[in-house]
Amino acid sequence: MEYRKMLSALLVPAMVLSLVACGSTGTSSTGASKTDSTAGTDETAASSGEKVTLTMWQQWGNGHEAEVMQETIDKFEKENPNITIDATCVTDSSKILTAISGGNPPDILSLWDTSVLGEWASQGALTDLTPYIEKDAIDKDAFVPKAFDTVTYDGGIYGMPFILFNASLIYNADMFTEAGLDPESPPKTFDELLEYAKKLTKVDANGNITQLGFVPTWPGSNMTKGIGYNFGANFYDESTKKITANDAGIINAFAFEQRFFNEIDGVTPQDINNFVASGGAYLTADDLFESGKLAMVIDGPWSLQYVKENAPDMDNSIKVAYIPTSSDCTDLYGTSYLDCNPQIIPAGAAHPEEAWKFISWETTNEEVTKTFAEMAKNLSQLKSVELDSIKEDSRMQLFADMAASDKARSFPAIANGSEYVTNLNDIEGKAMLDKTYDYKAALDDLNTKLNK
Amino acid sequence: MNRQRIMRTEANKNIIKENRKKDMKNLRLGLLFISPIIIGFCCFDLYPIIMSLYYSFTDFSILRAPEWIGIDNYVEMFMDPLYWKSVLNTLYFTLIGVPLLTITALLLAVLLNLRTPLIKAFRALIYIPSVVPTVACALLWSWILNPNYGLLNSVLRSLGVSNPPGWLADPTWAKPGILLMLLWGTGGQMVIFLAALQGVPDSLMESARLDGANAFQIFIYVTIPMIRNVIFYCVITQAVALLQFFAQAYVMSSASTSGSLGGSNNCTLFYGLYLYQEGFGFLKMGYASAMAWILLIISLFATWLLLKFSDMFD
Repeated sequence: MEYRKMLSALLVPAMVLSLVACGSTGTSSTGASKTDSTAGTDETAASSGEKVTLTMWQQWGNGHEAEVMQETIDKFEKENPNITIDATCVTDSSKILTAISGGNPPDILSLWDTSVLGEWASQGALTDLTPYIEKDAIDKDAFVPKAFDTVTYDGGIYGMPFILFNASLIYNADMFTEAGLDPESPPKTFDELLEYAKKLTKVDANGNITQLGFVPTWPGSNMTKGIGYNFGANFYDESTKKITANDAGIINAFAFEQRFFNEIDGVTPQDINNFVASGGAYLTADDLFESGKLAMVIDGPWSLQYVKENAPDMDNSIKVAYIPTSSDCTDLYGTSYLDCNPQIIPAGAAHPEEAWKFISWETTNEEVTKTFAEMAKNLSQLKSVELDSIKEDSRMQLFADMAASDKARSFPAIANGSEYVTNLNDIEGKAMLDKTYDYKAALDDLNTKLNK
Repeated sequence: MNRQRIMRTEANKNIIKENRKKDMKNLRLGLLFISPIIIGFCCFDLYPIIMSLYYSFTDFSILRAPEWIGIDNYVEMFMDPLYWKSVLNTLYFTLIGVPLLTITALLLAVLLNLRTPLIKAFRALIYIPSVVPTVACALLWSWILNPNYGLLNSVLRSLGVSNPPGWLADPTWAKPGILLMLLWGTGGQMVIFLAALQGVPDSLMESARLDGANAFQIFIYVTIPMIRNVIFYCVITQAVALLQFFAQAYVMSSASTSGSLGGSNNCTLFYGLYLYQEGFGFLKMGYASAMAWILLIISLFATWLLLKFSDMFD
């Protein structure tokens, strides 16, 4: 009896172990070694017209998005009768990793952002597209200047940039007027933003927040990774290939966030945290911004469209402006992070040549780009595309200008990028809740740890 | 006499031989019948377990071949403050959670064992929450625990608490909040206790009563000893489950606006979550395997401790 009890207790933790090991069978021999399948060697199928079926894993979505994807694929198949594309929505990145390491990846990956690009590329899981781009003489000047920055790791291009997104300051002009602020002059520095936020925050008799002026941790703002650039932050030193976690700009950004949480009169940092946590799901009518309880956010172009759909009464009072900067680098006014939906060929893909044909067609085709940019309420990677969403809504122009500007900055693709960002967010979270927390020391430690 | 004895032992030997043959045949048949589970266990449990032991001594990213690094992963783990944070979170959670959940389930079972009208309806009501799927339950509770609009804080406010806690958004209240959710779903254990309680013979209670024991004494000196094995079963499975607590914490932290896996200030970064983050988030599979092995050792030690403890009552 006792022996059996012991055994059953042993079997349960065994499940955890098998969870860890399940991604690992048939290790990397297949996945990584095929990395250097160079362009041009596999031309037989493409030119001979042999029937080829490509698998594509996309992260646009399952419903309407999948239909738009299918229409695009239909169009491509009509022009390339020998290629069929089988697209499925796969959002689970551990599934993608398992497929690549198992030597059976999809031919095309369409990811929703580039956050894993550096990690996967550094592990040899992605195909460097540089030879394909050179062979087909893709005109990089047709793309906005910083588009290829988003998909570059260590000099290689590991995806075609497709549909860009960034962020700006989005604010509720009615709430400005009510608080006695001029809606035509949004804050230009973070010091101003803090003053505005104080005036825009309301606390009731019981000490509960009923309205908040701003919050640095809004989902679309990409946290420090997003607004750090407006403090002049450099997250990575390209020349030494080292992470710079204790960069002065990052320290300044954290200092501002700590001040923000501690300088609003009558409330504690935890009160602000609780108020932010009380909001409904992001981009629904219940989220704090769309329900009129938050006056300013840093968010992407999509949020304008969601306000239109979820809270149409509010739409007229929503205005946009550049993200403020810290007062010592006002020349960065107009800077925002820039990211894209990279179109990737995993290492070991069965038909890289045909996969390239599709992703190069899709990312350079104006009509396809326009369709997807408008579907995702985002921006075009091609300079020449004129979006209806911009014609209909002049506020969108600001986002497009920022994306096309030389000031746009993309978060560098780094081998241990997710670990870096997660740790930055952790330190940021602690700094905001506790004003005695020594985030500088924590950033120094992080820098040592990640550069080991 | 002597001769007879010899003959008897001869006969015995034959019988033993026969039996042994039969046993062997039965064993072979038996093994054949359970071969699917044996093969499954070897392929999907034993092999991964052994491989994970190997990976725990390597630098392994899933995408590249593992590289032997000796005990570096274990050394790194012991110097990693976040690892210790996850250990402390998990221990706190287990040490408070196991007694809390077990005692609550036991007391509920005692109440629901009373012979009163509508008792079946009450039993069903208490049991229903444990039928709710894990993810649905976690999402539901992230709303119940919402600081401003949550059901729980609305009730607290109407009871006169002017500044109720922020629950999941507040580092000090997040773990109690999750324990509340687990308490709500304690029906599964309650049913096991209920069955055990109903197995306690009435005659024992009757004789205790005749000896002058009151209800409380009967519970302590008759009921508890009679269902002791069931209590230990529940404690051990609960302890192992809480040491590996993952699903709800994962869902609740992904649903929160902070988006960080460990919740506010990593206060709900449990062992399983940290292991998952290192392995699947940061591609440090070797490190995650090492963590899994330490968790296995902790679980075994906890089980051994509990069994020793239960032996004390024999």
